[in-house]
Amino acid sequence: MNQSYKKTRPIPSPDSQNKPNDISPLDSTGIDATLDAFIIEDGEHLRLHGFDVHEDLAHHYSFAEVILLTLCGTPPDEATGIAFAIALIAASPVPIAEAPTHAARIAHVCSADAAGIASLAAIALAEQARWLLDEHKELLLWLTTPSPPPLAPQFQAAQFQPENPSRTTAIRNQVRHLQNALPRPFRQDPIFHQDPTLWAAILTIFVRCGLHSPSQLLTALLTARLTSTIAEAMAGERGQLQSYPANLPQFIYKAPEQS
Amino acid sequence: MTTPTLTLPTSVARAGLHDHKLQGWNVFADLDGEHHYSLLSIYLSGRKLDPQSCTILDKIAQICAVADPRIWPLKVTRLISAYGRYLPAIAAAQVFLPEVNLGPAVIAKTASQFLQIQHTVGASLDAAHIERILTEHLETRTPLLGWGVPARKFDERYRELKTWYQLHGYTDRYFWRLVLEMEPILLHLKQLQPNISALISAILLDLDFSPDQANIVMLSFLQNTFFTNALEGASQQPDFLRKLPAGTTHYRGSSPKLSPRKQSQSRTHPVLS
Repeated sequence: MNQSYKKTRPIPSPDSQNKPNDISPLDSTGIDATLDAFIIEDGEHLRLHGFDVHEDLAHHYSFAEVILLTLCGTPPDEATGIAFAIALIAASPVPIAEAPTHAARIAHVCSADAAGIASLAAIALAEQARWLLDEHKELLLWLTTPSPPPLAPQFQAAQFQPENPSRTTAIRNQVRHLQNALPRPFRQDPIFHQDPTLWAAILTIFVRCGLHSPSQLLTALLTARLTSTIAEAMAGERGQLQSYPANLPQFIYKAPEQS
Repeated sequence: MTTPTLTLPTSVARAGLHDHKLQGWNVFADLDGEHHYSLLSIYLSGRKLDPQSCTILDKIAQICAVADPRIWPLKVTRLISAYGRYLPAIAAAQVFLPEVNLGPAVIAKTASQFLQIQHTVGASLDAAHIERILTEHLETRTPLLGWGVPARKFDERYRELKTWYQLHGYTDRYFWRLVLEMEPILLHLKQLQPNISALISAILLDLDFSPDQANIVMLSFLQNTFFTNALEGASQQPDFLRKLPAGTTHYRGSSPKLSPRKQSQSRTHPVLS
C-alpha cells in the first residue's frame, strides 16, 4: 500500500467495521415493484401501443404520424397526420437569437462534442417549451371553452401595432401560409378568424390533433425543434472562442451595496 | 441597420486583469482563506459567513452524505454514467430536480412555508396559534413539506442534526424554535415525524439565507453524492445498466394489433405514394 494513503486515510471505527450489512430503509423500498412499460413493447417485435413498428407503422405511417400515435395512443387519420406534420415544420426553426440555439452555439464554440451540444439543446428547448406553454396557458383554456370570447390580445398578431407594424405583417403572412398548407378541416379552424400569432396557431393545431396535456405539447415542441437547434449550433466554427461575441449583451458590473 | 447595444446590470462578478470582482469583493485581495461555505454565501449574496455558521454548514453537509446509488436521482447518475462519462451524468441527475418533492427543491418550498407561518405567527411562537395554523393547513390537504418519513419510523438525519445542534447551543434562533414547536403538535395531530428538510430549512433561514439561496446551499451539500456515483458509474460502465436484461421489465400496455392502414392494405407509405 502507498505510504501517503496509509497516513491520510482514517481507519473506520470498530463499530462500523462490525456492521457491514446494516439494514437500510432502501432494502425494502419498492421491493415488490417492477419496472413497467406501457407504450413500447420490447422483444422480437418492437411495438408502439401494440402496433408493430417495422412490419406495420414503417410501411403505412409517416414519422410525424408515428410521433402523434406515440403521444396519443391511436393512429391519426390522414388529415390529422398531415396537419400535425405541418405544425411540426412550422414549429421547427429555432433561430440563433433564441436562447436554446444561442446556448448550444456557445457549447460548440467551446469545442463541445455533438453529445454535449445535443444534451444542452434538449435541456434548453425543454425549458423554452415549458415557458412557452406557461405563456399560452390562457390560450389552451380558450381552446377548450365552448363559445369562447374573442382571443386575448397577447395571442393576436395585432398586439405589435402600432409600434411595430412590420412584425404584425410578418406574423400574419406566416400564419396565412401555415393555414393554406393545412388540410381543409384544420384550415377552417375558428382560431384563424382571431388574428392569431404564429405560436397561437401552431399550438391550436397541436391541440386539434389530439395533444391536450402540457406534457404532450412539450414533447411535440421538443421533437419539432431539436434538430434545427443542434444543426444551427454546430454550423459555426468549432472551438473559436474569439469568434463569439462575449459582450452580447454587455454586463455592467455594480458591486452590491451591503459589501 | 445598426446593431443595438444591449446591457444588463450584474452584481455577481467582473473578470479583471490583476484581480477579479465577486459580489463587491476583490477575489485575491479580500477572500484569501475564506471557508468553502463562506465563499458560497459570498457567491449567492455577497455576505461572508462567520466561522460558527460555517461549522454548522459543515455539519449539515456531513449529515447529508448519504450517497446510496439506489436513491432515485443518484440512480439516474448511474444510468447515464454507464455510457462512460461522468459530467453528463452529474448534470442529467440534477436537471429534473426543480419541481420534484425530493432533494434541494424541498428545502426552498419548506423554507417558504416556514416564512408564511412566521408571517402569521409573528415573533411570539405561541404554541396554540401554531397549532391552529397547522390544523387549518392539514384540513386543506396541502402537503406539509418537511414532515413525513418514508420507509422508516424516524429520520435518523433529523435526530443526529438536532442532537448536535442542541449540544452546540444554537437553540435560541427563531426558525429552529419554530420547528421544535411544530414537532409535538404534528405528532399529536397526524402522527407526522419531522424529516431532515424541516431542520435544514429552518437552520438555513436562521443563517439568513432566502428560500432560493437555501435551495442552492442544499444542492451544494448534495453535490458530492452525485460526484462519487458518477465517477464510479463511469468507471464500471455495466452493460446491464445501459440495457436491462430480458425478464427484468414488464410490458403492461396494449396487446398486439394491426393499424387501420395495415388492415386495409390499400394504402402505401404516404411519402412513397
